[in-house]
Amino acid sequence: MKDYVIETESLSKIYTTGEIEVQALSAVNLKIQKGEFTAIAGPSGSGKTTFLNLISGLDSINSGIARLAGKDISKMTKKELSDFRRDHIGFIFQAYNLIPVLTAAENIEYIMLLQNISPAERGERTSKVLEDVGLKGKEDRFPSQLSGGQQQRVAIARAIVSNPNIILADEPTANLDSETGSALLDLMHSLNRERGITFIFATHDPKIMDKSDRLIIFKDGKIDSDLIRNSGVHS
Amino acid sequence: MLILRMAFRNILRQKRRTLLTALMISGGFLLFSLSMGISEGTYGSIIEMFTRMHTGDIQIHKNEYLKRSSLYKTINNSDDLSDLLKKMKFIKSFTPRVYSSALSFAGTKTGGVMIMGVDPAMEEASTTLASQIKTGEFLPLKPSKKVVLGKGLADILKVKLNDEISLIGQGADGSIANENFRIIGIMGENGSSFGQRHCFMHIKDAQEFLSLGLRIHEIAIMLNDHKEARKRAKDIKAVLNDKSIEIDPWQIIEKEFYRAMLADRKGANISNFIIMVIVLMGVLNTILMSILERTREFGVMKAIGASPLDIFKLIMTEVMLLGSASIVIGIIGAFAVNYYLSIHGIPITPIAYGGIKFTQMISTVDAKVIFEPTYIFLTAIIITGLYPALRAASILPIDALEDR
Repeated sequence: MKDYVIETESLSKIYTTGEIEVQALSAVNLKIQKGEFTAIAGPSGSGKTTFLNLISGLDSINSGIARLAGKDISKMTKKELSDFRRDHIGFIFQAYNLIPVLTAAENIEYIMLLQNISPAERGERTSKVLEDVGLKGKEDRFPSQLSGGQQQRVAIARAIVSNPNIILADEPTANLDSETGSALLDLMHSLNRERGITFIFATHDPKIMDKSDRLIIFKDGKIDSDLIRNSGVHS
Repeated sequence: MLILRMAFRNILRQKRRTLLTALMISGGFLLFSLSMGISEGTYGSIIEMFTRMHTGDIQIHKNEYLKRSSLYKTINNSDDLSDLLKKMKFIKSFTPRVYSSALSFAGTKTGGVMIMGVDPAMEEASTTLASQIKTGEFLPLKPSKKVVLGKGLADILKVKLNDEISLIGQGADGSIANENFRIIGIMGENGSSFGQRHCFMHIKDAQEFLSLGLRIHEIAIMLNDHKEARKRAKDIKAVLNDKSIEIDPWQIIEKEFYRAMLADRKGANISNFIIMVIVLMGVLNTILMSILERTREFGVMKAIGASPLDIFKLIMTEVMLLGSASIVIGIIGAFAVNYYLSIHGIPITPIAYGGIKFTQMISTVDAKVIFEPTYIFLTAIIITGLYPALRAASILPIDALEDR
């Protein structure tokens, strides 16, 4: 039996603005296995980000089912959802979204504080993950003192430090120059290969699409194509 | 510690705005404390002057004497009461008195007079009556048919020192009281409207003149701490256990003065309330602005797993930090200003209040004027912070992230 981290059945989302209804996602059925390095691509407004928001519980589902790590997120309370996100999902945003008043190390430590991890372990894990993402020596820098690439590395470190089942990355390289973007993509790819972390990208970046094990194209809120290049599962 | 660091850095993000808010809180605290200090200090001083002038902190009378005074409503066992009062450690001193009205004559002039018989030694130990002499001297320690007149009465009778006046009144035995007395002192205003129509004499002279024997009408008691008047009146009542007498604190005896004081305090409370509202509106505005600017940040925090309670705690920590730091500055300022004004006071145009003229408002530095504003400000700031904190805690992450 295959080990799916994400399963959706007829997942739909309609946004209502005044009297206008927009079908952002229409009956999407999708299964993603543990360890996949998946890219979701498609034109703007095709439903990529909406899909990520729905499966992470950030946005509410109109109809259908979304199971993450075997749990139906539509049945969770707000508190359960925030706990679930904290323990099972890592986020990487296009605009990095680091907390500006915290240093690089503190940004990473914050999520572990929410998990009630002891200060000693927090410190140990923070040092390790900063080294893993190539930011050793930059622990005490605030986001404003880091380059875009360095900030995104901190965001990646923040996303992986809590050992999540899955990392959702929404246009992670869009604000970066090509060279930095490639370096970060290599970093995420190696984390996927070495640690078996599942990555799902919503992206326009051809480099991410090229590197992905699976490329899903969204169009008008539906899956237009689903191309699996290899098994995508890494132990 | 991370939350504390985060909160501290957050309140320093907009330094100018934080500084202005802190100044508003500190300034409001200072004004609040100063208003309380001046109220406490000035009233404390007035009460001290008032009670020390003649009223005392507590008075003992025959039942119903205060309602309707009468020559016949006397305390008949004053020696026994005195023995008991002497044993009470919270009593600083006490003094017996006799009162009656009479008619005074000097030459062709006449005037109604209130006779007040006092024990000069005990009165001097208890009140400032003797110090209010404008010309001449106070009563000698032994009875000698000498009197001190209030200036108002002296003016009516057109008498001066060493002149003689005649008093006619009613004796307690039904006889006509009739005696001549030599004037040895005139009691001036000296900041007081009390005693203008009084004729002060030795209590023994008064008892003899009014045929009272050893009976008296009043015992005025001075306490070591005038703030304890109500409590000590009850204590004395319990110890004396005499149903024929009534024991009242100065608040009952000088009802009008006490009511006026309470009304004035209410006015001060309204001013303090207005100060508080202005400060709290400033605090609310600052926190709401800060939350509005950080909406996206809260969205991110919630997306990565912060619960509404985590956000709520962060905002409340910021509110507490800002409030506490501002209050500490306020306490230092309030202590310094109240201390300065407790020594130097604020000179004012002399005004009469409760029969007393006072020329300056003074402040006081005690636990009440520091701790009460601290408690009130901290509580009010925390309550003010609840709304923005709840608002931030209820932000939907998707709305915040997408700036909906």
